[in-house]
Amino acid sequence: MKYFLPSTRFLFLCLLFTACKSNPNKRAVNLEDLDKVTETEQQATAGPLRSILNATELIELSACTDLPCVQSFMKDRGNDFVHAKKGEFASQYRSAVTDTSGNSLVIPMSTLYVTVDAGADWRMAHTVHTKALSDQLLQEFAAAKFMLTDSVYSNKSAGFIYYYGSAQYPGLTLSQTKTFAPWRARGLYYTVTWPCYVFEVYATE
Amino acid sequence: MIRYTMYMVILLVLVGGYLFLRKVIDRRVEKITDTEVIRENEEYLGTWASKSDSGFIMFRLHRDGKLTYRLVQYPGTDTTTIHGKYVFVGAGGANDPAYFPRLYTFTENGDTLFNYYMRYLTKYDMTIDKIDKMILSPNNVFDTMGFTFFRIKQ
Repeated sequence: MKYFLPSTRFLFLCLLFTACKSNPNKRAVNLEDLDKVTETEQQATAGPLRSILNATELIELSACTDLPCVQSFMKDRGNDFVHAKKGEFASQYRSAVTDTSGNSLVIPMSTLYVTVDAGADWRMAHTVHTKALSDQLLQEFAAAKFMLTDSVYSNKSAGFIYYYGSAQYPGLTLSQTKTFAPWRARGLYYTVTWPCYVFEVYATE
Repeated sequence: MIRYTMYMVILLVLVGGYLFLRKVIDRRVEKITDTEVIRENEEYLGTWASKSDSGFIMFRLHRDGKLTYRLVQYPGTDTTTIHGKYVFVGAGGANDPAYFPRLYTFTENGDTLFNYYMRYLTKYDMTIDKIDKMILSPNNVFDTMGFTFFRIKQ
């Protein structure tokens, strides 16, 4: 009994001191520092800066004829693109795309798919999911003096494929098409209900 | 065997007593200092603020369900203060922040101030986040718009 009361008081005091020390209260910030915290937060969670590859990058990529080459190229662009599955790169930036029924889908703004099946012909396609981005990319190619050379109707993609060539890049052909079948039954493209704009650049010589 | 059972009972009584006393003192401290002492699963309580180029919002979620909401819309300097109430509804009616709840706030007249899904809330025992964060979002679609609020010292 001699020690009971002092020890109870001590325990009570300890409790009193720990009472205000809840973890969330320790992690609170002063109102004056809110500006600083907001700024730090924005810098720390800096997201992807763009949604598509640019024309110069697609031209550089056209030199690749296998997956490791594309992988090493895309590794430097890891902040904006993720290697989601073997041969399937998707832009980290996602946004709403409206499909033909008016539904809003939140999907990557672009993808870069390459052939990974053994024995299959090499194909590398950069698919852009909005018309605005497609126009932007076409303008970049136009700035590199890519001119329309030919157009054919493709049954496979159920749309016209437009071919472009540039005197600045002899031997390179850009093909662009608006289609609902950018890549047959793969990754994002099993059921496509929104228009896709497919860009492919190949060395023809 | 009886001895060990007795020790067990003593231990349970001690822990239970500690938690009970802590709760009593927490409430007392809250009453005296007019703040919220936050423990596990009630991390949403307290004062939260967010500042952007267009304005400043600060709201306090009181333990008793009351709400104090302050808003300054730039370039103005006037503060609009609204007193009202809030409802915090977790999935299946549970108030556990782990189950992605919604936060509804109402003015005194019963008008809805906002109705947001709580996408992120710093957990009680989190050691990575140095400042508590609450992200409110109009929907639960991944990677879409969200408003970040930080916990403010009261």
